[in-house]
Amino acid sequence: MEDMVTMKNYEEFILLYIDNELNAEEEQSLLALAAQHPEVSAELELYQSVKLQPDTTATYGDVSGLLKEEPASKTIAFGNWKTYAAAACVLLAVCIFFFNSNTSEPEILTAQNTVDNRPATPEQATIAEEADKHTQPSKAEPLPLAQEDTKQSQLRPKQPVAHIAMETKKQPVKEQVVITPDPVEPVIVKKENTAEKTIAKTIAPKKESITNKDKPIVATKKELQSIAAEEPTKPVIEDEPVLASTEEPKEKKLISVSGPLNSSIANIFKKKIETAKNATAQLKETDVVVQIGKKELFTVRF
Amino acid sequence: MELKEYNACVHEWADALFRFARKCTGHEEDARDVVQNSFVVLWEKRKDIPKEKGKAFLFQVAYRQSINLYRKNSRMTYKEEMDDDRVTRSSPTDLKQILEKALSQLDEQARALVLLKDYEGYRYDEIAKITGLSDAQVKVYLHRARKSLKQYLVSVENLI
Repeated sequence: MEDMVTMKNYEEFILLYIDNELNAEEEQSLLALAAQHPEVSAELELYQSVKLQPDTTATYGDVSGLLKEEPASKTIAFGNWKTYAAAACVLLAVCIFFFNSNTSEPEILTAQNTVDNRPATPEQATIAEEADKHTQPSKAEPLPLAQEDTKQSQLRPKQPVAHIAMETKKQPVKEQVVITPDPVEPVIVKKENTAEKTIAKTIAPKKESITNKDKPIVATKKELQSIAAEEPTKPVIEDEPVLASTEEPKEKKLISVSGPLNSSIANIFKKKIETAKNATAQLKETDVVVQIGKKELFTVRF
Repeated sequence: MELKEYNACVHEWADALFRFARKCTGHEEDARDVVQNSFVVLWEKRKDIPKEKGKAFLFQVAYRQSINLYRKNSRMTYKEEMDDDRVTRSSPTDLKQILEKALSQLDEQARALVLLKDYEGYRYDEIAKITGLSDAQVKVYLHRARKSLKQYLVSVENLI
């Protein structure tokens, strides 16, 4: 160790020592030599005195001019995220509202559907009504169409007229299906009158309405007589109130839906469906001609 | 280097850079210019410089600018210092002033090497990277500078 630093090379080691470039071993060797030789120690102290010391009092000062700031609000697409969020909430609420309103509709639709199970056409509805009436023996009006043979059924249009008429009382119906007593091709006559007068006209002279009114057909005298004989309680006029009364129970059977108006409409539809069903069952072997006024629309053949 | 890291370098090295530039240039206003220019260059090249190399980059830029400024104003600066009677008339026992005088006697490169070594404590290899010299050159130039300082101190003491 002592041979590392000698009197010939001690100055270099001193400079390295001042620069803090010596390792521990070299440093010990140099210090040992300095301890043994005063001139080496004096030289070491002299070099240490000329080593500069930083003046911490000297400062740059205000460095704010050197600092950099972040760019002013980097605008992005969602800068107004609050506005977009509020708009999204409003839109969602509107969608939920409409969705709920649509979900509530089936309730009404179900009621209507039950009512709408009847035949699509009004003519068929009235026919169903008439058939329904005929199938109810409790009615004061003995609907011969339901009970009689096909021939007799052909002579029953009078009662259907009453039914139709009664039906119009409760709900304005533009069309009235009248099943004429024509044995061959019963014709359904449509009446557009909705007033009670028309009802009275159609009901009172039942037979006459068939023949006079709007139209087509008219049963023969023999047919009428046969019908009258078979139907003791035939007069449609008298049965009118009964029909009305008998029809009432039907209405009671109707499905109630929300609201008084909807319930009445549902009842009417229900009633028509039932009558249509009955009519279709009974008119299997008869052809039905649907007319509006004097204009024949189509013929339904069973 | 991000914005925050750059600002951290400003707060941490602005004073040290100023002291180095002030000693190298010998003039305070020049030193401020050197510091400002150094940070401008650092900001421009911040994306290519990592945070840990920010100090060395700053001193490298400051060294080059100080040398250039000193060489440009060497005569005037030297004249100013020579005309400064405060140094000559002050007490020779003021070691600090003697050293400052002795330091001003060195050439700009040697002075920079001494400042980097004594003020900032850089190793030979680090000083070599900053100044663009080799390790051996740094060692030799630095030893020569220290010997010059010692000689000046001895001569002043002898005069005393």
